Amino acid sequence: MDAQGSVNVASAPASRRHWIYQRLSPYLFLLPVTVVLVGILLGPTIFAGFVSFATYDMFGGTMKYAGLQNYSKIAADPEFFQSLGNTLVYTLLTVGVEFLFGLGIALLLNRELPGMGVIRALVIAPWILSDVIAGLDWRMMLQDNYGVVNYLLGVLWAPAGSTPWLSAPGWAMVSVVLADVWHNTPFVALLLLAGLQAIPQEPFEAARIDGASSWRTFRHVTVPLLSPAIFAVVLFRTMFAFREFTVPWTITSGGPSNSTELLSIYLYKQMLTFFNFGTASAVSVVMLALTILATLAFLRGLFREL
Amino acid sequence: MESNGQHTDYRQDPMDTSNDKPSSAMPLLSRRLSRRKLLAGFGALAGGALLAACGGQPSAPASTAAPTKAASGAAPAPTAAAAAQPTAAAAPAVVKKGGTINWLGHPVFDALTKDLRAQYQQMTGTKVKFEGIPYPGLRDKIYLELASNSASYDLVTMGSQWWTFDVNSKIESLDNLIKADQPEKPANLNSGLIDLFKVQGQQIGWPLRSGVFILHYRKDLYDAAGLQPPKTFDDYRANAQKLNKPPDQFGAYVMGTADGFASDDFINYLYSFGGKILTDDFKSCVLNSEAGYAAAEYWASLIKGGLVPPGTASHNYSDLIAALQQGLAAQAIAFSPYAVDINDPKKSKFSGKFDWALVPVDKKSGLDHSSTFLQCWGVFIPKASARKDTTWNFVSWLTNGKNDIAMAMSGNGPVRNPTFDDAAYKKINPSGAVTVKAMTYGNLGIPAAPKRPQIQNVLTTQFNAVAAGTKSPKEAIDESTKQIQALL
Repeated sequence: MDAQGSVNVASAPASRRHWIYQRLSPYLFLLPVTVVLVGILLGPTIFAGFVSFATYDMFGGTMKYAGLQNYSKIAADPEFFQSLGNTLVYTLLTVGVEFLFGLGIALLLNRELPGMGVIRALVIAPWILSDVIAGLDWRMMLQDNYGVVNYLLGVLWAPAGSTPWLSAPGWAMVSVVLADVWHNTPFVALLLLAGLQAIPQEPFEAARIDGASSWRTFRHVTVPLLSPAIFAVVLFRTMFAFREFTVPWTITSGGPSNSTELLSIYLYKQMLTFFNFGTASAVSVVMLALTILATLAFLRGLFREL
Repeated sequence: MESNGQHTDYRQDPMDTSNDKPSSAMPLLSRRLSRRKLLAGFGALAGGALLAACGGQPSAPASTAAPTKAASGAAPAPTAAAAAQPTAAAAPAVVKKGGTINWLGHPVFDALTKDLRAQYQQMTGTKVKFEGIPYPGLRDKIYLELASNSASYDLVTMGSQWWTFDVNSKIESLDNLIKADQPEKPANLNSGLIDLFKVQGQQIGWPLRSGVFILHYRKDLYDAAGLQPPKTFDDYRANAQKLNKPPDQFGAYVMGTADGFASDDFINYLYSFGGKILTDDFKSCVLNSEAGYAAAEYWASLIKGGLVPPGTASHNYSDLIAALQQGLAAQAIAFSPYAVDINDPKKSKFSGKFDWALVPVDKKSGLDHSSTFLQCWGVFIPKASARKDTTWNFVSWLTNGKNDIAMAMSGNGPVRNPTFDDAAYKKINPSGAVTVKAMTYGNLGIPAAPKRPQIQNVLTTQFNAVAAGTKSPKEAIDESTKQIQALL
């Protein structure tokens, strides 16, 4: 064997090790995060599914198989269906309004104007606030007797100054939707702005050369090219709104007359007020199933678009 | 380094420095070694994370790992003679100095006890670390800590109004600790408050902040209108009507939020009309008595009659305090410690213009006096705590006469009767005499039945609906009775 051959023979084990490294190293790198994700996401999810078929005594530490008892309990509870209805209304209203406002803001922010950096930072500000702070702020602003909103409305038109924002069922839902829209529209705007800035300029130039109006350019160029971002943002917001808890809880605690009690609040009460872990787990399984269904529907729409 | 290109060497890239001699300062930066170490590091990290996630409770500090017999509750009960002896000498023997007591409670206790905790640390070397959680999440957090036998906290604060008996198995009985380290002048402690935290003869909690619902009214307005404090609810309504000048001033105030205040408020009317929620054996709901309907009708009539500011269904305790401080309400049936806030010239426009009285009764009830909602925050020592003796020493010291006054001066509801007579305290809260009397007649609100949180949820949901005008008082009583009976 020549020198080169001897080198090849000598390097064969190293080469095999190298091959193993190449094949295994991506999985090894993924291993820690996989372990953590399985540990903190999949594990509790499976456990919740298991507990939904059981009764669990927190202080005694005992768990007994209960079959479908927890599911039949929530199926017979009118409060559950009221919460489900409230959640659907809340999700539709918040996502719809946030999308419209978010799109408008993103289109405005997409223009190159002086001071745009500052404006963008200001627009994002509500989203930076914690949910609890946002909720408490809105509770104070909408307070019927002292709130600044009623004060300002009263200055403009006296009868509007006594709007029962938090004490009448219909108005209370308006209030929690309003607070959520204020809090989360920046998130929608930010994602849509990123989507707008990723669109190449050529189609717009072609539309301009063809003499398309602003509306037709928006309708036939911007919207189709922005649709992946639109699907993504609507999907995210639907998932988040469906499980929203903090803002409605801090503003109304689900009242009045349970008119703003969302599924998450119903679940919270079952879990941490009554310590009905089985029932709470059954509610969480139902919520997960509904979220997955909605997600699949969105993803189907998204991939059809793509 | 290979350079024949026969195979791609993973070490062969433009940035490859593996042939360079590693500097002595960075021996571990050799690429071959760093990859292995990196992977091993990730493995160790993942393993560590798993172990941490699956691990049990944090081990107790070495100094406290073996509690004294007295602290563990295993000590033989002292003889009667020993128990009767002054225990001042026994206290230091069982108390371990130094270390940290971890206390979980409502944020109000942070400010109230900040200076006192510092003082205790200076005296004993024991640091008391306070963690505050707002009311809605506090019970959940404490219950989960207790259920999981967590040793993270040595002291937890629970309200008599929401503490339930199912947690008792996780709480240390204070009896042995008290015998070993007696509190100062126990006879001065309000016996009603002490009894609130007794279960089957065992003292499992210790009162820290008291309060009872009393009538707070504007004396200046009463005098100007020639009114007397009401004895009956008819008088109360008549006074409210005379003082009612909407939209700037309303004759009364009612709390009606869905997070518990609707039931907290209504209960005062219910008991003072002669009604109650459950029979004494907790087997039947008796809310739908004649007195129950009458109380509900009366409560709703204040709202419907425009005698309270609009928006009752969204009004909680902070709105009530603000209404009295700002003059929006001329009187209110409210928690006694609020007297400090509404009498504080820095916070209230009407400081010095309030007076206090017992809540009236319904004249048909035949009651001599009203019975209102008595609430008390108590401190409890979890069984899992490794510093029970030290913690009790702190609690005992914190609630001594001097400290009770100090906390009361900062707005706390005293737990010792002489505090109400303290000259300095009387200046900031002249409601003491009325409060002590109301405490004597007070009730627990929702009885401490096994399904207490559910019962409170039923009541607060139904009366929140009455406040919002979506249910009649009769519907609320009927529906509450039906739902509570189903829970029993």
